[in-house]
Amino acid sequence: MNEILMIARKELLSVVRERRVLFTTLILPILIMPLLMFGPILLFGSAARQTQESVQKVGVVGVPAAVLEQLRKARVEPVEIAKPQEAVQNREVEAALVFEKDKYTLYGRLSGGATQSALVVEKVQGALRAYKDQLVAERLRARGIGTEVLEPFRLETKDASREQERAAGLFAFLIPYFLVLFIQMGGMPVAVDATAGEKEKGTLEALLAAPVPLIQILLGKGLAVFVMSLLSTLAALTGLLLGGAVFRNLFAAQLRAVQDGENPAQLGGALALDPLGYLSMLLTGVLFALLIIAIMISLGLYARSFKEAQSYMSPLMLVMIIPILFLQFSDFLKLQDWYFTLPFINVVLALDALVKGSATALQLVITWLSTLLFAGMALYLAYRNFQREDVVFRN
Amino acid sequence: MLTLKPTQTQLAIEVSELKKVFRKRDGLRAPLKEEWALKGVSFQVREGETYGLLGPNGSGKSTLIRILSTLLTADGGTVRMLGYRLPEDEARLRRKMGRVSVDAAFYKKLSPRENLLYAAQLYGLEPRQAEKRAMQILEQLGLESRRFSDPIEEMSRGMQQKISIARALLINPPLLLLDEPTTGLDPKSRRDVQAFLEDLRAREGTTILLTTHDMAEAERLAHRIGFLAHGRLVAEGTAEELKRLAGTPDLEEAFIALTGEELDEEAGGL
Repeated sequence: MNEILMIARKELLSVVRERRVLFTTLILPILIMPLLMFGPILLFGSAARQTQESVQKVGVVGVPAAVLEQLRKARVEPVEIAKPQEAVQNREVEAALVFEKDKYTLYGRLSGGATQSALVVEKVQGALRAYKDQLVAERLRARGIGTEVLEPFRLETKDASREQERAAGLFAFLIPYFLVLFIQMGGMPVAVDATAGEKEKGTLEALLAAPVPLIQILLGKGLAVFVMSLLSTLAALTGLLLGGAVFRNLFAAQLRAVQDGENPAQLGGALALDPLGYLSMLLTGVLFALLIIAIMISLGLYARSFKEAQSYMSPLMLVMIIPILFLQFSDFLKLQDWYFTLPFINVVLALDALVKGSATALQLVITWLSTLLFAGMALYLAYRNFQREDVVFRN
Repeated sequence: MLTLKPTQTQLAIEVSELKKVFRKRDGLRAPLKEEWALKGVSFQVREGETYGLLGPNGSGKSTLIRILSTLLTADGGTVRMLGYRLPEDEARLRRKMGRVSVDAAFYKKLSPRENLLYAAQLYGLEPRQAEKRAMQILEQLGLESRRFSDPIEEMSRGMQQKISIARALLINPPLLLLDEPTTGLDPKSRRDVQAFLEDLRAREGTTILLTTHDMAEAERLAHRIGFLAHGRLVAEGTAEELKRLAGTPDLEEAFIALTGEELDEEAGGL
């Protein structure tokens, strides 16, 4: 045990001396998490608000004067053009409206997600809707019918998500991703340094020639990687929770504007779990850390150099994108219990379910046991790698 | 000529018909290629003796040292050191051997003090005792004590190699394996290290197996010398005996005459 702690201490000391590594694993997550979570929405929110408030040009062809008036009310400036589609394509106007007989055709750049043109199209649609309502109301009145006939009943939609899911909000699916990402990213510099780094420096030979059992060397190195993973993940969580709170207060007005005046807490980025939920998240994270650490040490030992180790480990982060894609559409899938036996996917699914408060005991137990099994296998592989001279002395 | 005291006649190292093969593939579908690094090497080193192994790159020197320091397993032959057999008794042997490699491998962000204490703890030494011994050895090697806490990466290659020797001597080993300990050192550091090894041998009676490229060093330090080429021990004896055998006035010419190869200056090899 003494040797394990001693080896772990030395590995951590080497990392602590590297200020660059300390900054990227411990400080950067605290700074970057709130930006990553709230930055885009604030930026897009304010751009969208500006589009809403300012006046944009809309091309018109054969549009009656009453509609032009409605368009001006909706804060767009109608300009007569000859070729509506081309004008929109060339961005001479954000949208174009053509009236022929009894039909309006509206042109906009609608591919490619959130475009300014899409927002202007919404403005024009709103203006036309208002004009249509006005015409319908006038015609009904002319026939002596009240406008209430248009609304035979009222409809109200209410959010029935769990409290946890509401707290996590829009970012619910991102939280598990960032957790697994930081577990991996935090541990990587130590994992590389403690394996391929030692090979490159030549210190691995001295260590292996010392009278310390291989398993203790492996566990000592694993412990150091684990500590850094944990610290980095805690830093990311601190960034997320603390940053979330700070952002919500500092930019309350902007966030409210983005949310159409609703409570900014709706944006989420907070966790509201019971103690058992937090404990379950911790256990899931720890087991995942064991698995990813054993894999990183195996890869690091196999690599001939620092650079080679990094190039082996970086794709692991891409591998983790697959479960997150899966997760984005998880609501459309009927989650089968066996999904929780799939490595990586199970951890992300379990964390997602925990964040949303929907995890069942069976799903969690399956995730924990299967991850423990995979971690054990990966650890054994790392141990075997340590024993093989064609791996340790590969050059 | 260097001679041993008559009482020092026990064998510290007995290597017999030692073989080592490396297998590798050039591509996924390529057949496994075998490369014999050692093709049946035999030699003996007596207690207190310094045995010099001379050989060019790729002659098998480093492989031999790695097998003796328990890092590699031989594919044939036997090794007995200090009465222990390899690989059966490797755990006990590791506590009795010090090793210095050519590249003075260290944790560069740590200081000499931290590096030495880490090594001492790996060998189960009590930290206070280890620190005292480490300081003593570093001073004997001519290192200023005020530099003990500077990061090793800020030190010269010569200084690093001295610390590397101090590390190998922490456990006061009866057997020392030195893999080109003075390669790449400046003349002053080289002389310091050589003088220290002579002093150590005189004081502690340490058995030393030394690989080197430096003929003068081999002549100065080694009681006997073995010429290694292409994984075979081509000739061995005292420097005088080897020169006489080859009929040449100096050792380098004797090496060329007996092995048909030239020694190169660069470190490394199999």
